[in-house]
Amino acid sequence: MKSFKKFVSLVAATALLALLPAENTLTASAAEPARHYVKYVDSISEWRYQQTQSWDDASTGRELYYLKENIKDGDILVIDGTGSSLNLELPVSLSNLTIKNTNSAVVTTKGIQDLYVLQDSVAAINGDISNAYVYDNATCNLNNNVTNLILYGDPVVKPTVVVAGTVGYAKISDAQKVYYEFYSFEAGSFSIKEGIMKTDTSKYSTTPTAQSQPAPSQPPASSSDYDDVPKTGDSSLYLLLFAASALFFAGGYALKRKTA
Amino acid sequence: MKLLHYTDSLTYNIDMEKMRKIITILLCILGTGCLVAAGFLLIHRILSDRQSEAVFDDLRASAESRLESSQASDSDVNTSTEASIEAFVAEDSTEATEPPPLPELFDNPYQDSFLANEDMAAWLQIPDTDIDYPVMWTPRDENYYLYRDFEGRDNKNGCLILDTDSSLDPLTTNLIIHGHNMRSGAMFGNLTDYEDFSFYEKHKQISLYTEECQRNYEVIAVFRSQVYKKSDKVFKFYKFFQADTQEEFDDFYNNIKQLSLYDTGVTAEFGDRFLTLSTCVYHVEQGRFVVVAKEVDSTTAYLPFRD
Repeated sequence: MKSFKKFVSLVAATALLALLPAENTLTASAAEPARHYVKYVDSISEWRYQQTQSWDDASTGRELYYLKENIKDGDILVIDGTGSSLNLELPVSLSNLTIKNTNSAVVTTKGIQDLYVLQDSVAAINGDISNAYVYDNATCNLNNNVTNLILYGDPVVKPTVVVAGTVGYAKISDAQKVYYEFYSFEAGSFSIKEGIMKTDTSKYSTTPTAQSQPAPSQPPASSSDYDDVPKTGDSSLYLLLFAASALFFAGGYALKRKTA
Repeated sequence: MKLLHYTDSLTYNIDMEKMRKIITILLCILGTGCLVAAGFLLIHRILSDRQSEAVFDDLRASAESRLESSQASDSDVNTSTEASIEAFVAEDSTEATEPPPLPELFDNPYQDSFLANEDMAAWLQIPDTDIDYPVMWTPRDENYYLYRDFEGRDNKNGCLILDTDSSLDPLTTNLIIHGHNMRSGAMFGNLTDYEDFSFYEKHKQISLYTEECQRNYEVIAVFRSQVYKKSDKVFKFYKFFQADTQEEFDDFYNNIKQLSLYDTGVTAEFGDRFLTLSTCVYHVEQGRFVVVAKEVDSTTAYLPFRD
């Protein structure tokens, strides 16, 4: 039985070898982004942190120090709570930042792929943003550049947003219609108060330009996202086949000897 | 009870034996299948390599014979040129005392190759090595000859290809040639020999025969690099084709000198042109081995041969 197990292991190893791609490379898939949750815990009157999909009320979580220790580039962060003002400086770029129910949250990052500022929230964000979504009556100051800024409300669109940097594309809409679509806002010019555009018309364009086309959300770079250069390697398929055949014969011979 | 146990154990042993036999047979079938497939691939590769190498040999032989015949007739050409100059001087002796300098033009030794395939841009030769191949340029599809031989048949060695962003006319600052790193040594299979300084010392010169002239290069840097991700903001040797400013030139030049495995002692300045040879290596994913050479002269101009 022991030798049979050995044999099965040998066959499994052989199959793995034979199934290796021609380039002889094994690629590890990138780790999933972690989701971090920051919440104001009323019982201790403090902002706390958990690495979790949704906040576990049974636990008060850990101090924010641990968030800074654990968070990595590409991670997801949710900030939730109506407590005292929060000032969070994170030396990473985030794939997703969601802010809800905050009275005053200031978040500084190296950049954000997707920002969501939900209804009733008040926030200030430092760091470039690819896609910012501001909902209903949320208020926010975006202190760097924004590629795409989407203001959405249901039933009413009354956000208050000021952008200190440039805005490539801005859209204001509700469930029924699109009110505005503007392009190429000059730095520091974007301002909308309770859904009413305050920016001077000379500071933006009503037609898309090459630079201001709304860019689709970019997925994180995959391992195949290399520059286009001719691949000049030699195929090793026949060598792999020779090796696999040698292993199969060796396995067969060993088994035959055992049987005999 | 004991007997029952004995018969159970016997049945188990017989089953195991049967199972082993079946698996042995299966393994032998799989082994034979792999062996046949590998043998087929190997034989196919050998035959196809021979076929393409025969074509290259014909082209090399044709170039050699042209070169020999042009050298043999060189003295006759010189004599007749001198005679015509004398006649020219005698006719215009009243006005001109010296004839205008005549450009030295030679027969292109690779004209048969150029005529045989319109996609051939040049012939690359590193004297005293196996690197002696046509270089194909297909702007419509850069990789067309990556797995095709000179005559367009499927072949694992492919041909050397001139990067489509490089151009011979007008001549770009950098010509990048890609070639397969074949285990057999074909194409750029031996390019990595340049990692050895003593090999470099014996093979500093590289020649590129274009339709118009012979360009001579001297190796200036040898290094390992890689193809980077599009988002990576690093020095990418394969992105440098044209230097219109001193800064662009310096960026490339300083980087290749820094990366170089050894100091060749060869320097370059803004206005100089380069030839970059690149092939795959496996020190990292998408690794590349690169030899950069600086153009030193292109004195041998060729007579036009197309109608």
